[in-house]
Amino acid sequence: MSKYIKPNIDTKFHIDFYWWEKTGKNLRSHIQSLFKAESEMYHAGYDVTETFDWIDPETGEISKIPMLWLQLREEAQDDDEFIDEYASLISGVFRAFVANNNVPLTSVELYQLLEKQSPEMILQTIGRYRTHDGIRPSPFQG
Amino acid sequence: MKQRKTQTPEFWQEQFQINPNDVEVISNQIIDESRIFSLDEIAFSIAQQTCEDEERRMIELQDGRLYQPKEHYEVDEKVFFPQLDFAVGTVNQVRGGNHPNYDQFSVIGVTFKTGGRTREFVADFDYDHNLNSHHEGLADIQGFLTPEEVYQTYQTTIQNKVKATFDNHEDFIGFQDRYFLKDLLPEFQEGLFNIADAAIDIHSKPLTIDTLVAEIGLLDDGQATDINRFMINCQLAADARFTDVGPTGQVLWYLTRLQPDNLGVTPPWLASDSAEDYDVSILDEELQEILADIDDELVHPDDMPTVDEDVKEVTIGLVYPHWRAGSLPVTTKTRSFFPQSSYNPVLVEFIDGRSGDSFSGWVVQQENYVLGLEEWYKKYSLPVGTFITLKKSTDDPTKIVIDYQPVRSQRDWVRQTTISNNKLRFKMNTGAIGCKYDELMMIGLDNSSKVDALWNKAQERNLSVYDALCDMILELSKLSPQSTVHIKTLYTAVNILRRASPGLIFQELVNNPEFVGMKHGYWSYGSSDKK
Repeated sequence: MSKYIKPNIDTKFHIDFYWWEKTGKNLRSHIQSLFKAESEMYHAGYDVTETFDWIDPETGEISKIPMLWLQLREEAQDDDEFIDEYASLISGVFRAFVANNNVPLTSVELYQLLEKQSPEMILQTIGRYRTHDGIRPSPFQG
Repeated sequence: MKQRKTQTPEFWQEQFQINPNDVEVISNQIIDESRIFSLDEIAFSIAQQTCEDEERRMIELQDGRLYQPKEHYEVDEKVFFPQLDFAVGTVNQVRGGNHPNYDQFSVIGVTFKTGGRTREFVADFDYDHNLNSHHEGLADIQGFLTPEEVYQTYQTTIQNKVKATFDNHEDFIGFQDRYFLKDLLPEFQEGLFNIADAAIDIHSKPLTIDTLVAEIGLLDDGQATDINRFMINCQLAADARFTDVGPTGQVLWYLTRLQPDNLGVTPPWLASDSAEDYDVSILDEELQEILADIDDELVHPDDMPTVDEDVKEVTIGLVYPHWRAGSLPVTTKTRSFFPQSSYNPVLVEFIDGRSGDSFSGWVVQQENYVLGLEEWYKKYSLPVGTFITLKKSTDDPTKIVIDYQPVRSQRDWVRQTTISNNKLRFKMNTGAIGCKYDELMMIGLDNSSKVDALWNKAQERNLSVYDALCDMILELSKLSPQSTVHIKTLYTAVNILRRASPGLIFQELVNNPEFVGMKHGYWSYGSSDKK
């Protein structure tokens, strides 16, 4: 089902949590790295090893991911500068998906959130065959 | 993927039929709700039912159950996922879900026919989710039109079929596209007709249904109920003594004997042959402009200027057919001035802009004309071509102020008909005209009865537009030193002999080389021999 189709400007992307599992990369560490150093929520928050069943808002598919995700989302909602203008493009895209609970977005929609580069540049960066931070075309393109 | 019939126009136009089950469902709805149903409600209900039946059959044809987060699934059950290219999988495990924001739900493990890892999906999840919405069905997911969209797309076709069934079904009674079960109607005593007749007669004007219900004494706790109104409307509609003269949305009962005798018959000067149409694309810009300037209901709406519905006043040139019939055209210019009904002629009140007197007019929507102006035209000796102004009344849409533009009476040279050897001929004559008028349109009639005799003769011999044009252009060109005739004058002259739309006359002129177009709408006849 996960056949590769060359993405275009209308292709919706999301964070593919299975990519993190499959490649053995540490999603928990990556999420931890996105907290601000002074974040009270992080220091007073969940057990960092705990996971929960994240529910895909489009397909209903479950991904077991660190509970920290929820905590980071709370921080994202309270922080207008969460999608940091100085962060790299990939990091900005990842943060955008954290903020919207990983609802699939096109490169044009991401550009409207990030307000940097251009939709074409965002597409070139995240639409390549090599995946960065699990950001891949969503199986749900409806 | 299997084609859905309900997504195609062919199904609704050719195959869709109302079946006894549809009728029974509607009957039960009426009984349950004890109210009158509109055609729109019935048609939508049946269309929705038809779409849902099809959806049920489609799901049955799938290998497994449709996946929805709110549903419960068991191990070994087959499930299909429209969001994932209709992948079909088998549930191989069920476990409890874990999410701090949701109390209880399950997670099902699914293996897919295509192989690969077991994937997990939420189940027993009775919370907000895109796939849990009430209307989310297979059709939505597949990108098909929803029942609402299907109904919007094919509404007219569906309504026509539903109407044909319910109008003729013995169990139902209908009035103006609203339906009820006959057996549920209260009884109506024949004597009540006489009371209704007398009430309208005494008031000397149409009465609203609420007034009639009160006059007949059928108020329920001082109120007219919807079912009583409906019952009276149905009974009066079935009795030839009564006629509804209200605009759409307002029933006004009147007595048939008080209507003009000729209301049910289109005046011969307005009756047209629908086969005689024209193609505006062959007319050049100048001819199209002239066509748009002729206030004849036979000009296609697209070929006339659009007048905003909010416009309070409009001026039109009185064309011969309407001058002769004592009527006015309903066109894109005048439509918003006249309340209309697709069910019946509508009674309106004209208010004479000169005297303030009022008189009745009748809007016949199906034929696009308004009757009742014969006496008014005669009263002020208004000629063909008179510029007539219509003004909307501020307080009542059934009242229209009608006026002309008076000028100090002076004697002008005008074209006038004469009859010679049973043929229509013309001469220039002086006449006193007390209004502004379109000089190009105007032809004075010398003797109406003789002209009518010519009209009858033309009908008998089925006079063609071409032959009428040849005769008229030759005769009228004698009045001009240049031997030319304006196209508006030709339109009037041809219509004195037979009904012809301006577009058709223009088309004949353009298509036949013996008619030679000059500038500014003038034409001459190029050969002394007829085709």
